[in-house]
Amino acid sequence: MKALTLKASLLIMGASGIVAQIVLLRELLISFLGNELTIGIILANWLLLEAIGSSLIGRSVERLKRRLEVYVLLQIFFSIALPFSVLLSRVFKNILLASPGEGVGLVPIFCSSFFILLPVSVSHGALFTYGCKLYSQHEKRDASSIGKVYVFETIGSIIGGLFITFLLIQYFHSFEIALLIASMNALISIFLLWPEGPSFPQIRDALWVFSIICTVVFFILLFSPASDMIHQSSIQLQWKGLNPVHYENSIYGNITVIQRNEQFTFFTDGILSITAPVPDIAFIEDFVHFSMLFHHHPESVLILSGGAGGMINEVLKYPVTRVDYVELDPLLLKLIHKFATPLTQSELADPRVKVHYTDGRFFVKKARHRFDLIFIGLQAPQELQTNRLFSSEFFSMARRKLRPGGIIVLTLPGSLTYISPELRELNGCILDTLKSIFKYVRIIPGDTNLYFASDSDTLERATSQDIMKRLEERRIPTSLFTQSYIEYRLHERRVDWFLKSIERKEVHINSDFKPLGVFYYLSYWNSLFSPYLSKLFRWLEGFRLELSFGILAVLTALLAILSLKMPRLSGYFLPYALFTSGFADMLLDLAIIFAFQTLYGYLYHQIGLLITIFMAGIAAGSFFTVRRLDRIQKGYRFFLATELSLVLFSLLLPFALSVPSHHLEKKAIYALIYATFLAMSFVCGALVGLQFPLATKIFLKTRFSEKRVGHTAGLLYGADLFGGFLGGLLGGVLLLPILGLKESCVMMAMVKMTSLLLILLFTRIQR
Amino acid sequence: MLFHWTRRKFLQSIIPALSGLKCASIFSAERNGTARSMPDEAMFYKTLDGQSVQCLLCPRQCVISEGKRGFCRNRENQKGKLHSKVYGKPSVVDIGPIEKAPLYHFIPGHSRLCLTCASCNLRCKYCHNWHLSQKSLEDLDYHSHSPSDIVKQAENHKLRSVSFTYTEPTVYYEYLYDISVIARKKGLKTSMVSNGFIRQEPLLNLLPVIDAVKIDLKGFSEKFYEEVCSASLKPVLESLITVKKNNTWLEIVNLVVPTLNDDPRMIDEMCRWIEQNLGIDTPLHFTRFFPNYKLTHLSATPISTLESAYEIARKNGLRYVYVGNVPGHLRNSTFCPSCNRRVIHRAHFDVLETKIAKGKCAFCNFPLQGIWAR
Repeated sequence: MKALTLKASLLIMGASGIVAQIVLLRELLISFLGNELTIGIILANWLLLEAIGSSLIGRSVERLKRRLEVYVLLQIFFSIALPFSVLLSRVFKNILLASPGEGVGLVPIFCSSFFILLPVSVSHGALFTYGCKLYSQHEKRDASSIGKVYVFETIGSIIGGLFITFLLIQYFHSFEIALLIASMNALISIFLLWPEGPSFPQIRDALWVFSIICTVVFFILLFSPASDMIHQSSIQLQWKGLNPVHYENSIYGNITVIQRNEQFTFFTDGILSITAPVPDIAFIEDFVHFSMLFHHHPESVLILSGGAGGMINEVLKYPVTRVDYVELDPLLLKLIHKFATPLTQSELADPRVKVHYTDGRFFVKKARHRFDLIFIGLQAPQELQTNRLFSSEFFSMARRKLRPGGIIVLTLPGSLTYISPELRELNGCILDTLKSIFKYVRIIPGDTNLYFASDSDTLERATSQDIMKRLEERRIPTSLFTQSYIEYRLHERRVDWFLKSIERKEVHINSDFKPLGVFYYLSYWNSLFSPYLSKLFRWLEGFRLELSFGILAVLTALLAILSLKMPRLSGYFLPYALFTSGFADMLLDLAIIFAFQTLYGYLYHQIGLLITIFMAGIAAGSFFTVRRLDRIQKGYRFFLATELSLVLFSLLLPFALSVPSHHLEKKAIYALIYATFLAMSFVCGALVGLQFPLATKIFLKTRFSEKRVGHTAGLLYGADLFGGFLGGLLGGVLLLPILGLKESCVMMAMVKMTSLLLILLFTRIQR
Repeated sequence: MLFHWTRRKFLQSIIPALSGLKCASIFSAERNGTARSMPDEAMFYKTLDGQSVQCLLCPRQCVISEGKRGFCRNRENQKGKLHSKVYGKPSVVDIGPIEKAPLYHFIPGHSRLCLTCASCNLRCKYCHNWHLSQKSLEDLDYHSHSPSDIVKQAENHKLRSVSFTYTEPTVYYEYLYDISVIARKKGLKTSMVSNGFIRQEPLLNLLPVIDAVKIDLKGFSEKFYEEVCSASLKPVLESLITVKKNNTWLEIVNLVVPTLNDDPRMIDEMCRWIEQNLGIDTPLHFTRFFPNYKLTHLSATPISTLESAYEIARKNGLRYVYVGNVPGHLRNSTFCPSCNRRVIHRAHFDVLETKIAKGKCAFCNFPLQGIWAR
């Protein structure tokens, strides 16, 4: 085996990991509703399983002699498992979990994604540990070899990430991508096991032949119609009985078009977005006509998402001069044109309609003219990204873009019969937020609640008679609006009942940097599928920084006392430090991305760049340490310095992130802050990157490691991943929404402070 | 042989009794709608062994041990007696149009007092009112209103009827019964929006105090009922026949869910059954499904599917067939089966025009079935 082959294999391992992760995440999101919690659970399972693979399975590396063979076997296993996992992620739900069309709750999502990811993630995690051992055998250096493998793996991840983000996703379906990755892994296995001379046939040769067979099979599947056939039949199973006529990925997500008789339904990542030619008339007419009729003379209208498929059609019934329609994903509109209906054709062909493919918030910020009405076509703040259109900062920005008398309109889930605690919190929070910005907020309660906010009292003063009069004057044909219907919908009794139902003691503002709305939406979503977890969500709602401080203080004190009694325990403080670094790093990176998109908008390539820079930071940090590892005498001191840097970075980050968005108007400041974001992302990655090789060196020198590379690599890599698992699971769902950006960063500083103190104790025990 | 059989039967009945095991046949004390010691005591149940009770209200017939509740989450065994936890505790008291039920042939255009309590005896995956129906009393906020309070509220608002709707009225049977008795005495009409999943005896006991019933015939297969609603079809069909036989006004709603119950053969079979068992004058509403509650990965019902269902029903001779949940649709209005002219013009829940005089078509005098008098 040549060094170059092994290095190439390690790069492929890194690339394969990130590609498999992204492909499976996207596939699972289509099967299970894609929100922050689902993403968190899937990502967390991935990291947890990788941690299990690297630490538990990886441990066998010291006992086994045929390490290269096992490494190749793991590679082949990973290659075979990946396409199977893609297939399972499509068909699993309909076969085992639910009736066709049924969504599932947290527990089935957790369990099924765990088992679907299991073969892929565990084998990939174990590959890291085996890779470290093989590399150390080759290099004859233990500590630096783990660090180098870490660097190779990270560089591979960067390459894989860039490829899948900018190329593979758009042009290849998941089976093609999975088979491409499988082929690469099988191919490199051939070179790893390449016979070095004539010898008696043995297991290794058999495995070599098997690698060749696998490579050939994967390539045949990849380049023959077979992969398309599997792809198509698995889609039919995924959308059982629903006749999917189109299935395409864009960089933003998947769009599936279902045809049933004359009707086309467009699903975005498995969530229904548009029905044509006859939409939900009651909802669309309520949403559009009440808004248009509350305004005395609407001319310029902005629709942020969800406009096609009926809404624009209703708006165009008025003598408007301009309708700006913003949609993030051009693929959606492309498919609406492809599967055209008379409704969608006529509304999108109208010369008054201007379609913009960009981030809604970004558009509002950049818009040069003002609007009479701004419609937010998203159903609720389902994710951190969509929450940016429900935050006080956005409302404030939108307010500046409204003409005098202008109205902003949005919807939230509701009920005409009963307001549950989850609905109360979600609606109450957004109502508080609207009230904090606008002078007048009017609500029409329903199964979908309509919110209208304006600085003009004409909104509040409009009676049902005024609405009817305007409807008649403007000669607007509707299916729904009659005098008694308007009276019924605007009846005071109903509004009073609703307002009383959402009364709470405290005012909760949903802001960019404390996106409470996301948490309340997830809590509401959970109540649909897993009502037995509602109490847990209510408890989490009360989670405070002080509580985390208390828990961390007690935990640290307990660990310190135990380690003094049992010094052997202190050996695990290094993995603990890496665990906390993984945790903090995931959350801080999430915070950076989150802050970035609130300022610059959700621009896919920009976010891709930010993540790449972060990973480049990890690679650079590791590379820096690995190069100097032999020269670093006082590893403890260096490690403590990185720990302290992480504490300081966590504390300083919120100050750097909390930039008021209006400062970005000036180009110089815009560029400066942009560069600062990239720098922060790099530093965030680099600090953890610096730690990993250093930790391996220190750990290998201690008596706890038993001088075993496999054990050390598995344990430390597993700890890092396990930290990432917790950060991914808790970050977007609990910490950022409940504590907010600043307090989450402070909490991370405290988490890192605990590991700093324990490492200090560890150095004393070592001496 | 006879001796052998008798001895065996005797032993079968005496041994469990002597050993203190459950034996329904010996120690059961059955309540069948007679007077209750407390208003919240269930009207239909039997005690099994002094501690366990068996609810006899719905076809599930839950056997409930001490301190536990039945499938509906509402009926609790308290020291060997079955009590309704929701008696006098409605979670919703509201006013709304009768067309929302939908009951299109029951005093069209009138407003009713709507009332409901927590929970349900079905678990429909597309439930529109899941906030209420899939929760127990303790999960929800509720009011405290005696049956006479409810009737007074209806009178105060000058409403013509009280309607038990949103969740399944069967699960608050005693409360519903008491309100209905008082309402009828006060000259108010009563209606219930039900899934029809109720045993015959309680239903027969209730019908004399109910004027109109709308039953959701959710699908026409046991498979659909089992998989989507956790129930069965047969008892629902029995309820439909009983309501019709007792001359209580009956309307049927069939929510057409793509892929699950929209097979034209199934719809045809259902319409034939209605025609044969309930008669051609039973109104049938085909309503449009929108993804809801747990069934979110489905598309809405295409209009053509609803229109095909309409045609199938008409071909089977049904006279009053509607297309619902599609505002503006022509078939949301009532047409005279004889002259085919529009006798009730509706816009969604709103009645715009009525051309009915003394229960007959104003154009051709054809007698139209329903309760029309205001």
